[in-house]
Amino acid sequence: MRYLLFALSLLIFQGCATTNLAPISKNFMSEDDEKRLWARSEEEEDVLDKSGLIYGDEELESYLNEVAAKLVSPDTVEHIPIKIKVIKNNQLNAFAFPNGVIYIHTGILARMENEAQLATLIAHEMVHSTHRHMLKQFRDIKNKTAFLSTLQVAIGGLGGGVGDLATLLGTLGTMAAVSGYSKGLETEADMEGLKAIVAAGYDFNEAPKLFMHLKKEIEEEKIQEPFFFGTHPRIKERIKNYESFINEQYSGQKGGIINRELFLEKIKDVIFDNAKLDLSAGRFNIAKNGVDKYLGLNPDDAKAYCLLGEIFRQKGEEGDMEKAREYYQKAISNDPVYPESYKGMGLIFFKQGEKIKAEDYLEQYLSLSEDASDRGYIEEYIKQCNKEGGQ
Amino acid sequence: MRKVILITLLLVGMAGCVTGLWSQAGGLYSSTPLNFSVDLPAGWMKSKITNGLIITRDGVLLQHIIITRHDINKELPHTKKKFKKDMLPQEAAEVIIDDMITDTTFLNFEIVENTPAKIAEFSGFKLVSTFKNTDGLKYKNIQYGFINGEWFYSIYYVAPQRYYFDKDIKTFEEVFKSFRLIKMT
Repeated sequence: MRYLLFALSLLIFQGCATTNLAPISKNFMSEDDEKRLWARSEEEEDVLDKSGLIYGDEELESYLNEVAAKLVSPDTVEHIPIKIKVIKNNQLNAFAFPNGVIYIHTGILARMENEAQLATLIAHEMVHSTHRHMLKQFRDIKNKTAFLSTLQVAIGGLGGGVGDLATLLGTLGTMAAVSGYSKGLETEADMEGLKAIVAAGYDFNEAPKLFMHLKKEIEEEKIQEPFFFGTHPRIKERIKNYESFINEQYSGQKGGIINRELFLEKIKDVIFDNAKLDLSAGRFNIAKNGVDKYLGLNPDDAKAYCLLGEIFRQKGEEGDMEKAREYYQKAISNDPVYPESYKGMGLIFFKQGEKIKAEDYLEQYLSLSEDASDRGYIEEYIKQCNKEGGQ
Repeated sequence: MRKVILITLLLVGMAGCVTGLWSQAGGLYSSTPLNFSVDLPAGWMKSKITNGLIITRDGVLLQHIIITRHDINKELPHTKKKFKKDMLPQEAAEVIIDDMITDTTFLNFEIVENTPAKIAEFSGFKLVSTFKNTDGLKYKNIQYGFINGEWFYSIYYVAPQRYYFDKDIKTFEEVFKSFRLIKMT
């Protein structure tokens, strides 16, 4: 209800205000309804920031903000400080509030290949803020019926948990993250965003590649997500736009900065943590792809092999237990004091009735992990092993 | 009202919608279709939900106990993981935790305790967790669960951590101790 009241108040106050708004730059003066939008944005950001869902890696945020700073002019930043934050969520999403705060989900960050792709996404979202798209969208709503139906779509009409999501994101966040803007405003975000990355020296050829990669994954993994960047038609629209702008404006020109190694080094923990989120969500194949990507950067990492073991053990289809054991074993070879691998092996043997082996691995797990939060369960298993082993 | 429904549903999780009218609780409650019986406290209100029963004394936002039965072959509301017949109690608990982690409405979600437990004569788990709603109100949740044949049974209690949780925890423990399956599978 508060979303509806807030949006109605904007509609009432805006009267016949113009939608022909200049982008934020030198001599910018915010208007009354815009000030309310910004104030509302701060409230919604506050909820997000205190939700426990912020990834909270200062070094990563600082890197993302450095990339963002390259994409915007000092005149603009003076009036709208751009700030990037990361949300621990495995879905393909990023969204910007009107006051320049941009949230990127770990899900989309983990799928990117280089800094040029990151710059493409940030620039797209940044244009929504600097070109005042939220204000334009609100002002552009001409009648109450259209307005209400838009809001309904934004808040709860899409299914797939969007109603729940609206509680967390609020009206503005949901509109930015889920329904997106009008086709015209999204096209402007693509085009102006592309100009920004070219001006910053990035390789424009990477812009469509990011979305082609997402499209492929959405198709292959049959991803069904409510968010703007997780929906097939919106992704196709981005690819078409970027390819067409590149052909029109940059045909024959050389690319620029890609920065693959630096980017992957900065986000490698995101890739791993996001794979764990995908495993929690039961997206086993996607989780495995994430761990494989992480292992490409850290080939000997025991915890990554152990996570692969977990993925196969929890998936539990035919042949998966053998694969899980192989991965746990590899993890043990690479790091003999990493406890979780022993637990995984122990649980497999326990369920397969090999109690002596199970006991051995589970004992090792407990000895390596003195403060194991699941000690109660493990001690029960060991007791059962002793009982059955002694019979 | 929307908030009440939303919070109830997020807490109810797999249980789904309230399907019956509210009526006075108290005494033995037995559901043959859902195959469980339980003693309900006097002075509380009860209502059927899609896969079980909800009871509350002062309103669902202030405290409620839910008893549900979930078909292990069906998906959970948030994670795509499913229960399996041969799951250990710890594995079943992890599925529940993963469903909560995947649910974006459980803010600041934390597991306080995850231990083995006996529910009636069945081996299961006890989970204690806390989370906040978007207004910053902190809730505490105790959930017991176990798998029996094709079904996952769950009994849980949720209330604001401050004041309300402690107020009815004993009542919940009594309800929990009285839980029985009508027919073994």
